[in-house]
Amino acid sequence: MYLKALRNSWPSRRGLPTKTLLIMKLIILLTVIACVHATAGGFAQTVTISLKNASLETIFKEIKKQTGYNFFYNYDWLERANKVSIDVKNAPLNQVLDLCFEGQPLTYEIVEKTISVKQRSLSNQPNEVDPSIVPIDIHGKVVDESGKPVPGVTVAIKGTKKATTTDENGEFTMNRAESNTVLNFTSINMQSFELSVNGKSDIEIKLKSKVTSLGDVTVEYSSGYQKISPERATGSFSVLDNKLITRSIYSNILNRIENLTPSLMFAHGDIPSNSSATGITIRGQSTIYGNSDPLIVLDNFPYYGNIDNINPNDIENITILKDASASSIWGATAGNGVIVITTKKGQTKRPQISLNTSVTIQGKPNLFNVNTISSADYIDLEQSLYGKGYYAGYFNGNPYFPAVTPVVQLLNDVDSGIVSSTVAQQQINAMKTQDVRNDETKYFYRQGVNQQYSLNVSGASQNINYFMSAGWDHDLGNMVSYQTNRITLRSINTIKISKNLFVDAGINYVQGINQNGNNPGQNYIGANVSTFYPYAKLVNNNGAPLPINFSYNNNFLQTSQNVGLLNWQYYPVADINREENKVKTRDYTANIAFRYKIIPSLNAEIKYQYENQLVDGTNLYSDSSYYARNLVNIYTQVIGNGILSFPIPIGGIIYYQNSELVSHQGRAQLNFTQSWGSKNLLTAIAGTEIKSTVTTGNSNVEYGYEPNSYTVQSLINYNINYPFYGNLGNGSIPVVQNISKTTDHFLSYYSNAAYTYNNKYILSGSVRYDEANLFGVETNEKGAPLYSFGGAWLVTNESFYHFSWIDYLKIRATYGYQGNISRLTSAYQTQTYGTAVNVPVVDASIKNLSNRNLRWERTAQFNTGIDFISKNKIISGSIDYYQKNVKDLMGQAPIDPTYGLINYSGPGFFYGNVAGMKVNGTDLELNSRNLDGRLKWYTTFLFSYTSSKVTRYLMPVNSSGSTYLNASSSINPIVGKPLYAYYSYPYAGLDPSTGNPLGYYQGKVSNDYASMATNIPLDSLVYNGSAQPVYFGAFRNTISYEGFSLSCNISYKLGYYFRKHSYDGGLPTSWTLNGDYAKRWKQPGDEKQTNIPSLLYPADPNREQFYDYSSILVERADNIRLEDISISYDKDRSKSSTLPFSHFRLYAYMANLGVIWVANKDKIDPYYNNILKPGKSISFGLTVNF
Amino acid sequence: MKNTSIILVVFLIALQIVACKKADFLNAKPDASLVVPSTVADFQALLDNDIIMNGAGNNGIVPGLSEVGANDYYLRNPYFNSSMDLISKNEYTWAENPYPGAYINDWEYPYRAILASNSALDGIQKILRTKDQQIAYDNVVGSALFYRAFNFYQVAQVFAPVYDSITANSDLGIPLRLSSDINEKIFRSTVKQTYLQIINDLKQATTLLPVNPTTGNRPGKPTAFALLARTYLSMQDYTNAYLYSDSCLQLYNLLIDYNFLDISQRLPIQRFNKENLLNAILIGAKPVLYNSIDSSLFNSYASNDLRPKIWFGTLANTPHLKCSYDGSGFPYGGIATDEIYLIRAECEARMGSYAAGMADLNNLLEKRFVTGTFIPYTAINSLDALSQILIERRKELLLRGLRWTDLRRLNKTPQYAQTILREENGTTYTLQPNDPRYVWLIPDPVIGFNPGMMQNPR
Repeated sequence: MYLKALRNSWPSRRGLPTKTLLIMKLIILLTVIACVHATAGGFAQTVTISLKNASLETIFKEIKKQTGYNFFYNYDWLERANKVSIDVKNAPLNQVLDLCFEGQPLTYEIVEKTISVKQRSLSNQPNEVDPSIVPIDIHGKVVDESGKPVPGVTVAIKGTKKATTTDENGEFTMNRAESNTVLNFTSINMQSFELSVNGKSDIEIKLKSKVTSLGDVTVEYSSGYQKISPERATGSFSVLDNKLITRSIYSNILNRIENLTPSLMFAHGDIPSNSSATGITIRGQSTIYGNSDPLIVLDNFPYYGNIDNINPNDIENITILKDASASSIWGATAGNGVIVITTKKGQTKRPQISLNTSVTIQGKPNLFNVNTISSADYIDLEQSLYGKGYYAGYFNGNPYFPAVTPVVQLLNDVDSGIVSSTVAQQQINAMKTQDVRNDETKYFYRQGVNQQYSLNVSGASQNINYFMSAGWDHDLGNMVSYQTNRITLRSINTIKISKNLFVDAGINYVQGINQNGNNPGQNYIGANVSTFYPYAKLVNNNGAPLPINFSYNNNFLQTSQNVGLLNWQYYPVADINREENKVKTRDYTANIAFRYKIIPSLNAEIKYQYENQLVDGTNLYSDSSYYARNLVNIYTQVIGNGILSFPIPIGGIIYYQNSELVSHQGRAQLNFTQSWGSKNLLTAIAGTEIKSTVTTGNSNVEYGYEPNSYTVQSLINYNINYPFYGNLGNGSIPVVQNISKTTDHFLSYYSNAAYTYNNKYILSGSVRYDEANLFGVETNEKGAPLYSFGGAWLVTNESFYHFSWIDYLKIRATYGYQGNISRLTSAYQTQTYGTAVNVPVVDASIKNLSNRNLRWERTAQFNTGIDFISKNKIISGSIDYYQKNVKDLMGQAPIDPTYGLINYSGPGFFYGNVAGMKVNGTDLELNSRNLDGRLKWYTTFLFSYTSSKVTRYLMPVNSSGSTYLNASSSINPIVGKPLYAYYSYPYAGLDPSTGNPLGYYQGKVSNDYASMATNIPLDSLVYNGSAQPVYFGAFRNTISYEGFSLSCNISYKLGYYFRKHSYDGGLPTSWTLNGDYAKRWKQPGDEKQTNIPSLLYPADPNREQFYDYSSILVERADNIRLEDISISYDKDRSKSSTLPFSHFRLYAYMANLGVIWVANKDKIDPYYNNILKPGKSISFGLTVNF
Repeated sequence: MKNTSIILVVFLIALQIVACKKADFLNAKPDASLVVPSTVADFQALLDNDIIMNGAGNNGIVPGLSEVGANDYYLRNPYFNSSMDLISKNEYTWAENPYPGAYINDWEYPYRAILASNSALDGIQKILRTKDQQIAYDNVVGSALFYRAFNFYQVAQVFAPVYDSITANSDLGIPLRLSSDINEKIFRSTVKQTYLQIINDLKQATTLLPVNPTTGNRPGKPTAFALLARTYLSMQDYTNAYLYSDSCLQLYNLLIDYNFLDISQRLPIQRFNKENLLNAILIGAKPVLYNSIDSSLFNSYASNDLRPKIWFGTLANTPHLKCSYDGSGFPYGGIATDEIYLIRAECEARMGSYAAGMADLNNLLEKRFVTGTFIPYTAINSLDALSQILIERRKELLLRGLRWTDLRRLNKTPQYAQTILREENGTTYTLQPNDPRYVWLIPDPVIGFNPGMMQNPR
């Protein structure tokens, strides 16, 4: 009914029977109007030609060469034109043209620098059958100068109200038009053009971009459901075109888009990213415990695979959807913004082969960026503590056999009379000169090398567009033994089956292998110590690996060795290659889409995508690995004198972890585009979408792995509770047998529409209804309708607009809702199953208590903005202001532990829609063309301001302020403050007589640390400020001359804080201390030079906590950094005909270049706050197009 | 036109299929391992979670505070200095507020088990008690009531004052969580209400639980009787304590003959041994884990007494708990028949039938001494019997989470009251009988969540 109604309303002047139309033959074949865009000026206005019996085409070419004027013409007409003989010298252009057109059935018109060839009035052609009496269906395609289809062009029949619009392929159909119709093509961003159809039913029109369009090459916004021309958008989008994406060389696509667009922020260093896998926030964080990652859409469908599986070399452009109008079409998953990645498609008629290769060298990281106590200081401290009996508990048969450092062991050996004190002192003095970071740098780290190769072939013929690519990436990481390999194969084709039916088919295959050994680097190494002692030596003087003291003390190791257990020592350097951790990912994606044009203004499409991702993880601990030896030893049973049994067989241990993701996504959508009266344009889409993602997983362990025979031991008794060797406890052999399955089901309905009046006023609206299998909520409560609407006004298209210095000005405003999903809880009480520890029965534990009022999180966003381009594009840009009101946030409300909902470690909580936030901010992008001659200098300035505040949170403020003093990444929301913020104890300097740090308690200077730890209310703490940048952006300059281009990007993040690490006066708990130890208060008077407290023995944890969280250690994190420098040289065959390929590009790229300025006085780079600092990287690459 | 119709038809059919299957599609379980409990087996599984209900896997369920402050062990100074965190040190030295601001497992773990019990009780009400699942159904209800009582009892031993029949109506007890509803108000009941609830739950449980539970993790009817006996003993209601200890032993009275244990083994006692009525582990308080056995207590074992050889190893040249009734080195906090023998013996002595009491004591001790060497103890009167039984009670039940309660209740009688001492780094710490610190502070966060809640006095 709907369709019928539409057809009836279709404006048609003459209703001829369909049969007649079918019988009718096509009179004229393919028509091409060619147009070559103008090259830079400097051509003559006079012409010198001498030709005999030349075709008009030949003459036109010659004129173009001499004058730079372009011709618009129709080949068919030229064929019918008479040949011309002409001989002129320095004749004015119009004189020459008049000569050429004399006696021809054609005439011409000059508009700017374009000469349009037109037919003379048809009545002057008596020989022609008057075609106007025969109505025809006109089908056409509108392309731009580069051959890309132009959607949204209004095609109107001159003198009537009949009009249509080109679709996203630039195509249009005009039914039952008179064959002598003159078509009028108008578009916001293209120059208008008139064309007399002259009986042809299949035409291709090349339009020129208006000078007033947004950029050099206008890239459309892609929402994942439709393409929107920038001029017609009301929402807030950003597009990163291919040029920007290829500016950097990262093999992860997301890394390539940092600092290139406002509002997009990447987490670095202390900036927390609690529930995010990508570390990306768009316009600030608008969820507390929900997923904070933006939705990533690859072409048409949300992408749930590993982002590393996308080869950036296959990407054409990326659209970022920021406000509600742009993203609400994605409904309940769009709350964090949407990143739409569009892949390359075949476009050019000539087959194109493109080859890209690059190599990146990444320098070794700087381990000395971690402020660590010197070996000498540490040894002195150990000696002093030993004298005070601090280590007494480690000797004399402690049942837990903790290891001690070599110095402590030596001191004890001296006391036990095993070693003489002079020998010990000699050894100790030698150890004072060792720094483990030297060995770590040498044996754990290396220069990283990343290689990328990519090859693609693409092209387009009349009925098929194709794109095929293959890529290989090989990355040897900075840490020895770490490497990744990625192979990507991709094919995507569009086939035109009939005039109205198109099929898109694509296949994508990715195989990634990620592997590493047991390289601890500078990280946690396990057991009861977390670091190597500062003077650890990892190899001997000959470079042979040495064992380090680790887990068990020497006496214990010696006894176990004597009993006949396996060697129980840990050799960090040798152990690197004794483990092999490998994750192999294979990802297959296949998609198919049918597009069918029902009537010219309405087409239907059905899309389907299948994805299968297999992740195959293996951790292989060889029999020589510390891990395997340790486990075997622990379970060893001493049966009698010298008789041992090994419940865990001697050999290697393998863990398997496999998972599979199967996803089906389907979509049926109707696209409607209709214009009428040459001033009205309506575009609308409506569709339904279904999605099912099932992830299954399993894991297992095998003991007794023997690599030679490739066997494992299967007869393991998992039921016996074994006493561990050496009173280390007891337990049964660990079983790792897990299966898991998660299912995500979504069913959605959506629609949006945009209406443009007279190319000046645009109204848009969208609505989406999502349903999902969010567990336990009854089906009828699952839906979450989310909507948006907006408007835009193209001021420069007003007749009263007369300012000559702004060529383009658009004002827009939108409002609407985006959603976010949290799967943290459910409406019903649920439990998970397992097996009891001590008896073989099924047991269960409560996962969550019932909460029937569960809703999805909603973000209401208001956005208003201006887009502008000044005259000659000297300055262009956009400014956006937004306000987000985030409601129904899923909050982790801490709960009275008396309710019994507790964690294994720490306070209990439950989840509910208990919180709210307000975010507001500004995004600004300014582009300027400072020089635009042969030497070009372009500048882009990006600025974002985002401020967020918690507006509602169920939990009362804890009476003890110290609860809020923790690492920045933990969340303790306070109403009126940003989600992530620093608080600290007010600091009052060091006590001049003791070196104790002083604070304030009940208004007075105090060292009552215990009271401060418990009784200081939050409002007596210092509120330092946000832990996330409030202002951030980038400043990019590109200078180019001929083919050379130099670009450098400077980024800045301002208005936030970080907590410095320092020495807090405590004792070593993990075999190391902060290097500020050397600057500690030692004697009265030191307090004038230092703020580092004195060493206190015995330790007072409250004193340490006070200092660690005192205001003296909170610093401004503001920084400006040189992000990268990119240098490239491009050469095109059009400029140099001797080039064996059509285009090549040589480039170099430097990154990790460090800070230019930091606000804190210690010059700490807040990105690497006392952690490893990555080395600088440099890349070289080559792209060749054939 | 034909094509169009076909596509539309296909499209509509597809939509219809989706619509028909929609309910199924949207009701798919997002995580296959998540279950909305709805069967008797689901609730039994909740109660069979031995980590939560029994403290298995060294997690613990019985508050470590029931032993930390008691005097059956001490900490060697090096451990006190180097291995104890601040809270452990504070607890060990009876600091006024040992754990300021901290969340304390001793409160949380019992209430977690109480939640599981309440969930089972609330959930099973919605299921019909049909004939073919009566036994399983009753076991769930009985077990849930038992566990709730067990945990109320344990919390009351450390966070509420000892039962005093004169003041029980006004003394503040513990919050009694009686449903799984997250909106239930939390407030402190009186001591009387606390104990009444424990007793009522247990009495009801005795009518539902089987005499012989299928695993050592599950309570049976004798277990419920045993806990009733223990509860009445802590209330100094010796008549009822006698009654229920007797009821328990009537149904189940097995003892291990220590002569049959292999002393050469590091862990000679099995978990789920024959004295075990319910396996439970003490929440691992650090001081208790590093225990050295109180010297006078250790020296009080006779040379032909097998117990120290079975139980103790050596840690830093001092005796140290090596093997508990859990069959591991972790302190056992469950219920075993030896305790019930001792309860009956004590009650008999207190009620005047001291000969019966001595008989019960000798029955137990005979199994602890080298065969043939045990000379039965004798008493001249009830008081003498009681003194001997109390001494033997301490020697038999050390580090089982019982000593703190015993100290609290015995302090009520001046004759048995004692001052206990700690000494570390030259400082002597003293805990006088009936000191307010015999009631540990309710964790600060609990008070924080319930601003009106009264903290225990200091």
